[in-house]
Amino acid sequence: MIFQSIEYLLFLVCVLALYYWLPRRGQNVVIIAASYVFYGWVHQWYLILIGITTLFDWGCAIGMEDSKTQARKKAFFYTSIGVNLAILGVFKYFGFFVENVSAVLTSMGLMTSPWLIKIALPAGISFFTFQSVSYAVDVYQGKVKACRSIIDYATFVSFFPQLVAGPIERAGHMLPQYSQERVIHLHDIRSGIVLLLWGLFQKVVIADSSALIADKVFSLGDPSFPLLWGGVIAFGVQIYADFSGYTDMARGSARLLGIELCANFNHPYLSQSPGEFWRRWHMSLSTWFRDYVYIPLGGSRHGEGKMMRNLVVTFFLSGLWHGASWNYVIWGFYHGVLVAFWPQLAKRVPIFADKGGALGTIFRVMLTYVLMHLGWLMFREHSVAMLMSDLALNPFTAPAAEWRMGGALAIEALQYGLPLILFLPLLQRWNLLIKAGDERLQSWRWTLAQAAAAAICLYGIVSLRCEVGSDFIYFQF
Amino acid sequence: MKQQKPVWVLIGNSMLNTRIDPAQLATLSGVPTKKIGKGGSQSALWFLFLKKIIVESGARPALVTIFFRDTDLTWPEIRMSGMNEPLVKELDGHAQPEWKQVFEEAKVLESGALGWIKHHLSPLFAPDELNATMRRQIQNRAFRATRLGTEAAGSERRMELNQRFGLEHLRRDLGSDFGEASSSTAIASDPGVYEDGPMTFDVSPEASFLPHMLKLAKEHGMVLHFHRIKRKPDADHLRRDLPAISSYMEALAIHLKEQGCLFTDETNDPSLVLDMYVDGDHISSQDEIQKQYLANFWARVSPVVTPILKPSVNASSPAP
Repeated sequence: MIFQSIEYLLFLVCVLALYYWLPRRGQNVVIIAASYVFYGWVHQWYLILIGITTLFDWGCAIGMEDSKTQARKKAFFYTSIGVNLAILGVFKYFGFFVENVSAVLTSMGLMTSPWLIKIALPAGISFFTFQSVSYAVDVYQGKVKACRSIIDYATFVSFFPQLVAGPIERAGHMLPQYSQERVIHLHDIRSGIVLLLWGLFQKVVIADSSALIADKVFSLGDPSFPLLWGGVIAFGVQIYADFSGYTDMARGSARLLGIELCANFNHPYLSQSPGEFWRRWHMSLSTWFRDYVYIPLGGSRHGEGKMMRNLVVTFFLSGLWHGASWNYVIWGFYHGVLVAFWPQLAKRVPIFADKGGALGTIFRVMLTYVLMHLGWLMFREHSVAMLMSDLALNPFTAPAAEWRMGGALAIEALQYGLPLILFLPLLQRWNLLIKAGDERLQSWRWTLAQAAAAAICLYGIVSLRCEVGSDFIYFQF
Repeated sequence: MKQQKPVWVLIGNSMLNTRIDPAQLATLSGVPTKKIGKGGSQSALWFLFLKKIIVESGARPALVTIFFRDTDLTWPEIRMSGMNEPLVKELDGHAQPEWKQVFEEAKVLESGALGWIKHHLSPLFAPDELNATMRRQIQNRAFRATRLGTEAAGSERRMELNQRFGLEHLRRDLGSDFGEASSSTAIASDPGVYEDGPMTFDVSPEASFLPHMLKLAKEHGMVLHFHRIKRKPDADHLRRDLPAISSYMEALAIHLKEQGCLFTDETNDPSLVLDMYVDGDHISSQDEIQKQYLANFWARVSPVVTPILKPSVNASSPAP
């Protein structure tokens, strides 16, 4: 089921009606049932998968906590991690692995025809397995207590607003919310609705309109440098609005249920370095990799050389998390190198550090924007051969007409992305007030502001939505 | 149409445009032949071509051939948004009773929550017009900002973009139709990849435009001929239908025969080999391949169409 459908609207209304009619324990059962309907809407057998991981991790976590010996605790821990990684490995990476091994064997003359194994990738598998892995690690390290209630734990794994594309939540943040009474304020409902509408606006107006431009450019067999970059800029707008839109709809839906999900984006294109970009982009994944890969690898504890190695390895794995394809591997490696080497550059060239006043800031924001978009080219171009040919394009040989067209496409996409900037001050202030539980949220001014924001979003959705819809990009991961 | 009084009219989208040159077909058939081929169009527009162009012109061709793929004829919703809307308006599509019957209110719900909202808000303001105007303004602003020595108007710039994203520039194997499909605006086309629609053959007048086309043809003394094209074959040059499509085609063929229509299907033709295809289901524009396709097409259809085109002459060449 997708958020931008009538089915989801009706589904959410029904769930909310039932949800608020029941006490807390019943509310969690409603969430689980709703989540299984949501997830099994297209492929019912996915439910078996999520059911198995839920039971396994719940049991292993209790086993870990109740273990009398360290060896027994470790056994439960590795079983839980092993099962999650095995599921991810089989469904996400096995086909890619077999395809590459057989291609190598074929090229060496050891096979006559390459094998091709296609395994359907269950939606959201990368998200819920990572959430389960983080739970197992946190319980093992004693950061959270094992959840004794299967109902609460199943709610944590399957919570439908964030099941398919995150944010990747932590047990420490979510389990206390599932185990206590929900207190819903009127301003939560108001802001939940506005978040839902704002997310929908980002998706159906900004992301889908930019997608038309990006898809066109990436269907060209003979792109020129300016046209390609027009498409890359459009893709930059698309992927941000698409994922941020999804996250806001997820957060809005969750807020209506009295659950607060973490923020996933903090205006990433205003970053002044690649490292800062990753602290602002898909924050729940970045912090996951920081806590469960980078720090266990040693983080920055053993000198600069090892820190740089750890960064490259972490981003390489992050690239692989995004997809079983070489372009994602290259993309991850590229970001690892950028994040690892930028501080070195900043030490030697002051303008790369926090220097140079306003001009320095503009320079760093623009440079980071360009570098991130070079990354988007790697992300969007699935064929490595085509990627190499794109990177070899010469800007100086492109005729004026191509610059005209490429420029027009880029400016068109940036215009669609403009609301992301225009709404920025309002959203920032709003988020701060919500976080602080500020009483001003109940004032008539905020009520009016929310009503106006909802009306603007609704008007924009109806009058400017793109007729040609597309799936959420992060559903494929 | 009124002036030329064609005896044979062919209707379709880029599947027709990349396969048939009407002048050459006229030479082979010996009758005046006309083509109404609109890239990206589908059955709803084909119905409008039949009603609003052919019938209203009073030309009364003896035969109208419709080129289609798989389930096109009973899938009215496909490509009925975005780029085709201006043409639908030009042909006054929304005012046609058949249009209302097929796209009746209940079906608006199927297009999603936004479609439902839009439908109920349209009496208050015109979201489609507003959408088109705002999008055009956004594009025009982009054109103005990137003049770079040209004083070309927005429409010329759009045309320039259309040409740049033409069929010949697209990557191979995209299964793309949107080279031609984007004739109204450079970037407002339907998704390129063609997939089959509902595979249940339903002949009720609410389900599709097929029964309306059959009725219209009967009322105006025209014979309809439906030609199913062979989609891009596999490496062994064969195109394998899904079982559901095979059953659908059997039902379609029987129904068309019962209704007095002609039906030809080139899907199992082994002479239409993979090398003839470019960009999905399109046939290459190379002269030799075009000639080969046309000769093959004529050999296949002439036994069934000649008695209609030239009632006094018996068909002579056997089907391949």
